[in-house]
This record gives sequence, structure tokens and C-alpha cells, in this order.
Amino acid sequence: MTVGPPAPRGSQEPPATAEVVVIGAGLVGAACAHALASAGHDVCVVDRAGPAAGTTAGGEGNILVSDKVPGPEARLALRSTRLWEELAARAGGRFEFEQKGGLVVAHDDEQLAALRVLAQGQRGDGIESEVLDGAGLAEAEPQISPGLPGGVFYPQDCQVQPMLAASWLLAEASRLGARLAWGADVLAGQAGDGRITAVQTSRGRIAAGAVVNAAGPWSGLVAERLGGSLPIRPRRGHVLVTEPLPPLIRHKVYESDYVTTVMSDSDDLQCSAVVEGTRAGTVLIGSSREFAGFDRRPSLRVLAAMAARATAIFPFLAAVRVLRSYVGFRPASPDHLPIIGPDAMVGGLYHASGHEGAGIGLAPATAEVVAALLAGTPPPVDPAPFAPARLGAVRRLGGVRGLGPVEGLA
Amino acid sequence: MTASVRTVSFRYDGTVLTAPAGSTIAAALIGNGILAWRTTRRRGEPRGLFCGIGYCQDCLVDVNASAAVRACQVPVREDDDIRPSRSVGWPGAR
Repeated sequence: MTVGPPAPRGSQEPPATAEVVVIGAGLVGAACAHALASAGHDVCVVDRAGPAAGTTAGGEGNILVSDKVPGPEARLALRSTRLWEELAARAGGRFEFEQKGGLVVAHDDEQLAALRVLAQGQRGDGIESEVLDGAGLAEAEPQISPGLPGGVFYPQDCQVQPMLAASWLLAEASRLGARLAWGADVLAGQAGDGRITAVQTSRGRIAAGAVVNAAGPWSGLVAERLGGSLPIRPRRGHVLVTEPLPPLIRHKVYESDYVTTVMSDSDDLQCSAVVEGTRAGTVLIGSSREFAGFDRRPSLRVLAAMAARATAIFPFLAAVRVLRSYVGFRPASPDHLPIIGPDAMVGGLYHASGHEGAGIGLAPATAEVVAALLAGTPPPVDPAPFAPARLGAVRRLGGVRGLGPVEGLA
Repeated sequence: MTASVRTVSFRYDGTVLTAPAGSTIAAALIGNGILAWRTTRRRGEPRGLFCGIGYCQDCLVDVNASAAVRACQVPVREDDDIRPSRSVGWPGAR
């Protein structure tokens, strides 16, 4: 018998047992559930709210290779982009997947030179790009500010509507037999012989052979409740939404400063313009990064800074009205790399988190890694750089900040 | 006792209409029996006043040189030229 409020719409009863329990129904959890169900596992997805209720709904749907510095994350991103293409081909347009390409713009010659160096390094990992001068920028984006010296075009960058994509993946997983239980908060874990054996949720206990923690910015809290640990902090971001416009912005366009802000270790506010049109006609304007706990109150100062930067790239935006804004929380890891793999202490517990702002893009390859680790087969992308065990030292030094027992639970 | 209400005249889709001064455009149109003043971009479904408090963006009209104005938020003025909205902002884009 369930106690408490009725389960949200679309929820099933949590089963008494499942081979794999996936915690979190955002895009990363949905992709894991889909990959595991496709591999024949008996899967149950639990979420304390429902599908795409957290970080997945708080971003822009980026599938980027352009912002990845050469190295393991770049290779994961390229693999993930290929998997996204396969998923999109199967989904037949149901989640607005667009291979629109990304355009990184420089404000001066120094930035352009730095972009050129970055692009050269990325080519070694297979990231394609084309350096553009001012005339090339204008040809790629007719509305762009005429004063800009140039930029780099990345044809492999894509965009997706992440809530639709998560819903599709969950529906596919469900079709393959996965059970979906919403309104189920993970409260504790049970272990035997150092292995997790069950997950206690607010809607009942599920005996499990393995558990995948895909709770995004709340995955540190979930790890603790299950007896493990994960040094995740919520890195807040803002997005502005304009009124619907005709298609005026063709690509995902962002400032070269963006890569610097992504990699920054500063606790302070970082702002850089990221601008893109959507199928609905609205233009999404980001981005900001700051460690501000789970504070959902938007900051006018941040919104104004983002709008000013976006207008510097696309002057026509100055005459466009903003309809609304939203904030989201990115799951930030201490070294800016995703955390994918077995918990350092609790057997059978796997983490799929720490993607910060890249979780939508990296979700399919993350799921592929998780499925391979569970099967004991080598994944196409080397998972070693993402192993949670690498963060042991950081954990002892820093611990988890910004997480409380109920903080940020909307 | 009769209160004299000042009226303004305006055009909607080419037709001259009147409304009490100070009315929002939405009130002015509804007062003239017009309940829908745009159609949705994809399915062509009729739209008029929905939330009435400036949030939902359903009641958009084009007014003089401005596109996609929220009819529930803007008072009607003498000689306004109001047209069904094409639901797309920024006139320079046309």
C-alpha cells in the first residue's frame, strides 16, 4: 500500500524488485534507462518528481562538441553526437533534433587567434571546424553585428528539445519493459557485503541488483543517502526567452568567452552570450554560471548582463521583447569532467552525473558507458578518465557544498 | 444621473469601431463582439483574451507600427490602427 499523496500522472507502482534501479528521470537517467532496457535488463526508473523535472528543463538543449577542450570529454561528446543522430533517426522528428551547427564568435583578433588554436587542437580528436573572417560570419549569420572580426564554425554542434527527448527515451524504455515510478524520493539504501541490495523510496522498497545515480545536481545527496559519496555542486544558470520571431538566427551562436567560463573554477558569476532560435520561434539567450546553492530567484543583474552581451552580437535583439526567464542547476564536478562509473565504496552503485552544462549532449554516450560497465564489456569510449574513484582526494578535501536534505527540491 | 463616458474611435482590420476611453485593446475588441483576433501560427486556431494579465501571450495584436502587442496590457487610443496579429514580433523581420 502506498502512503501519502497520490502518485503523479503517468506513474506506475514501484516494483518490489528490479535488476537495475535508475534514480532520476532527466535526460541522463532516461538515456541510461533506455540503454539498459535495450540491453535486456529489467529496469525501474524512480524520480522524486517526474520526467524532465529538474536540470533537463532548465537549460537550452545543447549538444556541443565546439566547447570541449581536446581530451576525454571531447571524445565522449563526439561519440554522444553520433548516438544522438541514431536516436533522432529512430524518433522521426519527435524531439526537434537539429544539426544546425555552432558558431563561436570572437570580439577581437586576440580572441580569434585563441579560437584558432583551440580548433586546431580539437581537430586531433575529430572535431570538425572552419575558421571564418568577418565576411564569413556575415554569410553564416546575416543578422550578426558587422563589427566582429571572425569566429569558428562547428558543423557537428546540434540542438534538441530536451524535455521531449527525455520523454521519448522513457517511453521507449517503457515499451521495452522498464517501469517508471514518479513521486518516489530515494530515502536510503540497503547494503550487504559492501554491495547495494535495495533502495528505500518514499513509495516503497525496491530490491535491486544495481543502482544508477542520475540525479543531476542532487546526485551528491542521493549518493550520501545510499552510503556513497559524490562531490557535486549545483552551478546555477539563467536563460532568457524572447517573443517568437521568424527564423533570424541560424546556428547556435556563442561568444569565445564561453569556453573560458565553462572551465573557470571561480565561485563568482560568469557570463557569456549563447544565442539560438528554437522551432517555436522564440530565441533562447544564455548564459550565466555561478555557485548560488539552489536559489531559484532569478537575478536581474545577471539577466541584464546576458541581454547586453547577446545584443552586442545580434543588435536586432535590442528591439525584441523578452517573454520570460528561467533558472536551472547544473551538476558541477570539481574537475569539470563527468563522473561516470562505480562508486568508490558501495558495490553495485554507479554514478552518471557531473556533466555540468553538457548533460544533454553527453547523455547517450554516458548511458552507453554505464550499460557497458554493468555488462562488464569495454565501452567504445574509455571510461577511465570519468571514474568516480579519481575524485577521492577532492572528496576528502572539499566535501559536498550547497546540498541540504530538502534544499532545492522544487 | 448620467455619466458621460468619453469614447475613442479606432480601426480594427479596416473597420472603424468605438470603445470607452481607457479601455484596453482587448476590452475594446470584446466590447465590439470580437472575441478572437489572431490565429495560431501552425494550426490556424483562433485566439483572443486568455489570461488577461499579460502573461500568456495569447492576445497579441498588431497596433500601428508595433507587432505582437499584448491586447490586455495596452489601452486603445484614438485613431489606432489595430490588425490581427501575425504572432511574430520585430517588424523589421517582415
